[in-house]
Amino acid sequence: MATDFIHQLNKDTELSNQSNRLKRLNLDPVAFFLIVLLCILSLFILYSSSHCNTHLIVRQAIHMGIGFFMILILAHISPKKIQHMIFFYYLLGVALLIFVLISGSGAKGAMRWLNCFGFRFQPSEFMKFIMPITIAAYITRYPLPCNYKQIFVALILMAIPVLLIAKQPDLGTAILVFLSGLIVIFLSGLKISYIVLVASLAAPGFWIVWHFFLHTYQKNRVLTFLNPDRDPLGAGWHIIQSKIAIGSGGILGKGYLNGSQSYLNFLPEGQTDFIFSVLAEEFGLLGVFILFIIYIALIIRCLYIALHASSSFENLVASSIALLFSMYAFINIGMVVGLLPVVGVPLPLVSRGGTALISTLAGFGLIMSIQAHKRLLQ
Amino acid sequence: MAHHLIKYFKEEIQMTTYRIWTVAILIFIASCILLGRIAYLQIIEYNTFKTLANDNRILIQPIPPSRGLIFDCHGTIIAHNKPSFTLSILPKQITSSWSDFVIELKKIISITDDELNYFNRVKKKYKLFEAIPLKYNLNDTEIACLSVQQYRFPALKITAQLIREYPDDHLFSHVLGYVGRINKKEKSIINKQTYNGIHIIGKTGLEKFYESHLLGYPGYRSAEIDVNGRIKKTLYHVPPVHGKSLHLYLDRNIQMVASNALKNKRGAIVALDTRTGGILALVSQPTFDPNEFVTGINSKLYHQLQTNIDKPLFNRATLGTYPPASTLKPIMALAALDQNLITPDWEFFDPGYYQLPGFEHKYRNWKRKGQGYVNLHTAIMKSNDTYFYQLAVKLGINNIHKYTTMFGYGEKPDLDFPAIAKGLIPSESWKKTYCHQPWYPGETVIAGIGQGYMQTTPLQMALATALIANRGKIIVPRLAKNQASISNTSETILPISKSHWHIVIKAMQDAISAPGTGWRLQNTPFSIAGKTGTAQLISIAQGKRYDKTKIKKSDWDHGLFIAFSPVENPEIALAVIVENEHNSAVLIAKKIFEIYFKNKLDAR
Repeated sequence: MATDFIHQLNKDTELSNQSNRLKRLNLDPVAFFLIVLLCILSLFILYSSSHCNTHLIVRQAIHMGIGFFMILILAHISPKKIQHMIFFYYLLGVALLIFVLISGSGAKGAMRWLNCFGFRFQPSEFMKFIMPITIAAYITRYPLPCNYKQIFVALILMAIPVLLIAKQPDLGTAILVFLSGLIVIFLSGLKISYIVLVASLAAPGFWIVWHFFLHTYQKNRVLTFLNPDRDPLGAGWHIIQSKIAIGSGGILGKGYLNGSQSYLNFLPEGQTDFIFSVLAEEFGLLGVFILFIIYIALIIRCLYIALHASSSFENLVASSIALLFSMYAFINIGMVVGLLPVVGVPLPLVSRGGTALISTLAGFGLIMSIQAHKRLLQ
Repeated sequence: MAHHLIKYFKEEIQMTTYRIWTVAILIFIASCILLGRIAYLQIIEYNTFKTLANDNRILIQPIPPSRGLIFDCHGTIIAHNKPSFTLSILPKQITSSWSDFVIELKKIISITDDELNYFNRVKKKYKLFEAIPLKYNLNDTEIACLSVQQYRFPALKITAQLIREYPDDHLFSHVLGYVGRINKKEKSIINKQTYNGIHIIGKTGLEKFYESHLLGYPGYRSAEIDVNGRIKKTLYHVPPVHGKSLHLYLDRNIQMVASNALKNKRGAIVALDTRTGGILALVSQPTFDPNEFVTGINSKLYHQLQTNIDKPLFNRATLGTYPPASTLKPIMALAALDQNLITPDWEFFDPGYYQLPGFEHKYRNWKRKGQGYVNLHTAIMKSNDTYFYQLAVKLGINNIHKYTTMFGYGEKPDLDFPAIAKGLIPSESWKKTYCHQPWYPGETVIAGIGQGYMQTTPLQMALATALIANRGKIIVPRLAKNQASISNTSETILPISKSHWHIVIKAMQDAISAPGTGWRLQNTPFSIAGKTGTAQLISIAQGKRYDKTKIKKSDWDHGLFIAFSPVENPEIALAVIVENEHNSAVLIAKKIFEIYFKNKLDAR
């Protein structure tokens, strides 16, 4: 049955020479096209929100180049190999995190950055990418769904880097790394009733506590804890200005390079966390729609690849990467439109930033590899 | 084995397939929530946010007009605007606490508590990004110190603007008045639009009366600003309409001579052109420096001015009321002639006092021995009191009231000036209303020499003098030239016979040569007609004499003098009052006449 699918897929994708050439590079043409589209969009918006800073655009393009190089490499490595190698990278990641704590640098007292051959990068960002693969690699050694022992070990594997990141201190990223591991366990098939029970108890419980039991200063403290860069007094200002930027964009937007909120610096963090507001201001609801369509298409494609993966490891990796990707996008957009509290999550593939971009692209490299190597099982 | 593995694998795949579908549905729901929210912001709330974005972006700045200049009759500037530097604070840019900021700032320049208090009072009225003025009139040293240190204080802003300056400081203070910061009461009255960006308003004098003329209309500039309030580009610019300048009849030379003549005395001088009604000089001494008020007078100095026993803030020329005393005699004479109560030749023997029939009380002449036989001419010339006691009784209080009112006493002169007193001319009905007493004949007697209840201002005296000089032709007094409302063309003439004017004016002319009371003015190259006066402040008991050494100086008699010149075709009329000084008024008038005719010669 799986074979029929693969045949069908081959027929679909053999339509053009272009896609054949990409396939020889082990690249999935649909996903690749959507990723390139997002990257181009990102450069366009960054150009506007950085007030036409070409230097910054070149830097971001270089980061994208590195990211695409990662895609090419990872697409050629078979998922099996990755499954074997990932523990080494996991250990390397943990070592880097320890190293960061010893000799890292960063702003506002948080040690996150590592200087390496003139490049600065954030090991915690890489951990977001390594974590789900590691957990997937571990739990697929045993029959699924996992038993308690395996869950316990997986939790330990998650806890080590999470605690190291929390110590930086960067609780926000720590929680995201933890979630990226947890998502794999969820996808591997915990009993659905168990998930629903935990979720249905936790979500309203959290909501009730947040709204009725916490004072404003306590909430502020929690939010500042989640994101140390957050200015407790400025957070309200950020959200107000972001909503003004989005709302004043209207249906068609103010036009490219014409966003008054971003151009006159009313919108803070326009290149990073609030880049979505710049898009919404200058391109309006129409631009937002286009971004959503690209995002959703990319996620659907990834889920499709996951659905047709040839092993449960591959299935888990592909679907968790797709889910994490959409989760980041949801958290970021939810934050800038004022539905979620301000936590420092960039808009995936669009926000400025080197490490996050490269690790996201690396994730897609894995998905490409999964798509390219699925026939090998037969 | 392999088969078993594949079956197992298929079960696993199926399990994860469920999860993936769950994920897909979750993502779909999440997308719908986000898109719904964004559509709400961008479609339903679009107008709200568009307005908010423009509020953020656009700053409308008023551009204050420059206040109109004021010139004297020679075109000399007597009020202008000079550039001044102001230290303002952008509160949003203060990084430390306010008190720390002030301590740091005080290390650079001195800031008084007055300035701080004022700053704290007004700061609520300013917008978030607006700079609030803290210290005006920075000097060069202060500007230099601030500029050097500015990198440490992004909240400091030094701005230049035009402020009012009176170059002759004390000289015109009472007539020009001064401008000052708009206070709360004024704020509630003024039109906010016309005063947009303007922080000063005419408080007193001509600055107040001609406020709308001098004010102009503010322009505005609309600019795009960034988050720090810096102007990125100007969107549009409407220039202000500057205030119109004001040309006065005042003559700086005469004003200066008059002012100097009264220096270190208390008193007032009003001189006017009898042909145009233009006020040539309006002096009240002591005076003050109006420049102190422009940017807010410090409270200590203001307190000093207010509590000063000599009342330097009080404009004696238009508000100070004095008994007209003997200066009223020409009018009394005209009244009696007009009523045919006397003839010019009617004579009367002065024993030195007058007694009402059936009363013991002696109303004394200023010369206790009496002045022998006096007719109208000698009575005016020598200022015989006894003669005028008689006239007053003949006229009765109602006629006295009628004729003094005809000469403008007891009524507000129609001058383009905000603070003018009415004075008081008593009458039977007035006394009944305000004192609840009937009129006594004795009060009529002293009214004949301008004493008693009678109160007149130096301005009224000068106007009455001009009326005599013009032989009854009424003129409207004016300070400013460029006012269309002048109605001096319409000839209103008092219905008094020409010959009467001639008799009285002749007597006034002789009064300024010996043995007249104004002999100090004799031998001038120009003809003068005048009348002296001595206003008594306290009544001397029967049988006692006025003795300067026995009463305190503030109760000493006021010296008065009214005069005009030349006698035929008069040009200038004046009134001089020197408080508590008997003899100097005539000499002061002499100086003014001299400068007037010297001016005239120079002009030729």
